[in-house]
Amino acid sequence: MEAHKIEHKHALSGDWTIAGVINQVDALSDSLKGFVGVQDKQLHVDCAEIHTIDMSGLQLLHVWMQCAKMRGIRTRLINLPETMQQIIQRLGLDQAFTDNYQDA
Amino acid sequence: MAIDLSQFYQVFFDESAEHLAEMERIFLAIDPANPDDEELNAVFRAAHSIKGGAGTFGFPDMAAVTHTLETLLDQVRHHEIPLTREMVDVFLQTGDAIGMLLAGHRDGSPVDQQAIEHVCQRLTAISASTAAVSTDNPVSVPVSVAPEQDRETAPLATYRIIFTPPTDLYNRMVRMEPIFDELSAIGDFTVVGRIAEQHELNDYDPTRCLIAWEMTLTTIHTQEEIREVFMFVADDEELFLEKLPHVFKQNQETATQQPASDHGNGTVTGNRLHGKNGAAPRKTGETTENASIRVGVAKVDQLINQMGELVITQAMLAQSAQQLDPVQHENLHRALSLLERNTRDLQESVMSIRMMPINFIFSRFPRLVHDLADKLGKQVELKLVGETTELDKGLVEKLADPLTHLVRNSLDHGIELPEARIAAGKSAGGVITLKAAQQGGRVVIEVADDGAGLNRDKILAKAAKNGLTVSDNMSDEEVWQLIFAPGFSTAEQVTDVSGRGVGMDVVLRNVQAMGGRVTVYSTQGMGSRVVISLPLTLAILDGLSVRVGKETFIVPLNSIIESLQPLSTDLNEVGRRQTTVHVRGEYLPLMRLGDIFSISNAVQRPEEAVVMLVEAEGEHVALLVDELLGQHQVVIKSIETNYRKVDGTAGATILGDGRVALILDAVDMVRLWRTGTEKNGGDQTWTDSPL
Repeated sequence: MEAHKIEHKHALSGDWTIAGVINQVDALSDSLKGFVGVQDKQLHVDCAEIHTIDMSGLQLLHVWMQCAKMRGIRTRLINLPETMQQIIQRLGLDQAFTDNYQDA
Repeated sequence: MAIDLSQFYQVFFDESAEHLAEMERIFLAIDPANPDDEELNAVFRAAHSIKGGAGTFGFPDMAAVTHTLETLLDQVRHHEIPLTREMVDVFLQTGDAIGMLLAGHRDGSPVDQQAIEHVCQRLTAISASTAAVSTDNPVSVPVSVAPEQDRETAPLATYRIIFTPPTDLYNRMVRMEPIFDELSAIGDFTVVGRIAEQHELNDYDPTRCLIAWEMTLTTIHTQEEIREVFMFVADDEELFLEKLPHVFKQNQETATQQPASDHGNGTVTGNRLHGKNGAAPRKTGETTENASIRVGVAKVDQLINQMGELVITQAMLAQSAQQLDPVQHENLHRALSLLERNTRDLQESVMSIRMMPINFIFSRFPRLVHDLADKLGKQVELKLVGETTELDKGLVEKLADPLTHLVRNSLDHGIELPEARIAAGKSAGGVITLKAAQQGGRVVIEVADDGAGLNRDKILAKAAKNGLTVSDNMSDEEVWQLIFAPGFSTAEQVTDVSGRGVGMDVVLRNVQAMGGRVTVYSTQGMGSRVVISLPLTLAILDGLSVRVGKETFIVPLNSIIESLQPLSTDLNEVGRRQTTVHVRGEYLPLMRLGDIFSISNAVQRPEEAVVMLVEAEGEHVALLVDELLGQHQVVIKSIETNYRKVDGTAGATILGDGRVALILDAVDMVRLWRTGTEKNGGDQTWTDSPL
């Protein structure tokens, strides 16, 4: 469920819909504190284990990445599930995430 | 963890039922040759709302049927195809089909899939035939192009749409994907979502929506149609829509400025699929004065029960205070008096929550009459009078079946065929009148028709055949009462409408179970009138407490005419123990409550007791009681539920001192007294107590 810091990777998992986002916020907030000592300044965000996501989840993800950016961390989304990519596209949020795609 | 949408189902079911009722009301009133545009728009909106809700809440079967209906309605309202009587009938049947699906989802009641398919086929057939007519013979249709052709020739326009949702969008379980998919389906569509800047997660509320969307749509559809796509999610002020002079190119600068500057204030309000409090969405422009909230019936019933207990507690306090010196405890008495007044006001307010206009039932009859009249080949006009009359919700629901029986009977047996009516010198079309009015503490509902009326000879013959005791000397009123006997029907032919003789006894039983009575008036050749009289509410009544021996009874205030202490010269012995009281030229039979309920130590000499004149179904009788105690507001408790039916009573109540008192039912008392008199050969001493 929570975000785990794995070296220069962050693995996200669980429910990222309106029912579950509330449980993600604290872990993400804690992770921001951990970014202070990151040398590489580049973080891969692994989305493979995100089971479900909706616009509230995408909003949280985007805000978290913005917060990281403010701290000098460049984030890059990797292993996006197909459904997540479709939702991003259908909601017109491509631009919000494009810069953070691995292949962008 | 997935969101449990089922918490919103009930609201959806209630709203859909209202939309279906509205559609039916309009279809029944519409003139196919000259339909009103506003009405066509209203039925389209109703269908669209049902479809949208069904899709959102995961009822694809409902959404599919409604979609087919909506498509046709859309063509009709745009005058692309003309409305016909046949279409109206199919639309009505479609409404029934959607209602059946709705009931299936709501109550788990069986759904006749064949009927659903049949309706869909008929809708499709209409759609196909209208398209064919348009193509093959364009002259024959007022608007001579088929919808798709019309669309093809309609000018393309490009719109810029900006949706700045309220911050509670997520909590309302709205999904934007289907909205954008629908827009994609009607034109060349692009959408860009902008998420407002946020630099900290510490104070981040993940349930607040920070996204705004800017879209462009090149389509042949109108602005109104585009707005309809957002019907469930956006209020007018949340949706900016402008037609661009040419194809809009994404303006990065504008787009970046748009993400809701209002987002932070949290004050944006608008039409919701479901309000925060579960209320139905308001129509644009509708004022808050008309706003209402939906509350579960169980909650209202609980409130009424608690109110009842409060009334009893107040009565207990009042009774206890009677023991205290009014001078010494003046303040307490004043406060208790205030409490009584406030309790009464509160009780009236609480009871009014349960009151519903009788139109809740009346509104179903135009359809019933429309369908049955068609089926029976009769011309019938239904008149509704007093639809706003209010009645307790519990009674309204129980009244539906008896009224349906009565209306069907009027249609089937009362109103004659057009030829027969003309031969009888009447107009070809008959009239059925449904009328409701409040009279004192009761609601009186009438079902009247100007048909053939009841046939006295046929009823007597049928009654004799059924083994009932009848005589030619019976009054008309007594003869009409025979139709309430189980299995009684004079119909020459049993139809699927009525005539099996299972109707009127059920009507009587149901009405009596509600504390009501049924009276029939009829004139052969002129018509019949069935009058149902019901108490306003089943929960609380105003009554007078009376003492008989050591027992206390409550007599409903609305049945009391007056009380008096008779002089011995006003009393006349008839038979062994039958007595009449002479009151202002009228000789009234004296009913001794003590005898009826076998109460020992009851005062025997009427001149030493009190006589209450009571009205029972228009008849006046005198009731002998020992003493009048006082007026109370009593909470009716069912004895039947907790013990068994006690003849002559309408229930029981708890008195201020905690004792239980029976509430008398004047009409049942008279019936009981008469039965006892006959059984005892004129001797009014009861061998079996009703208790």
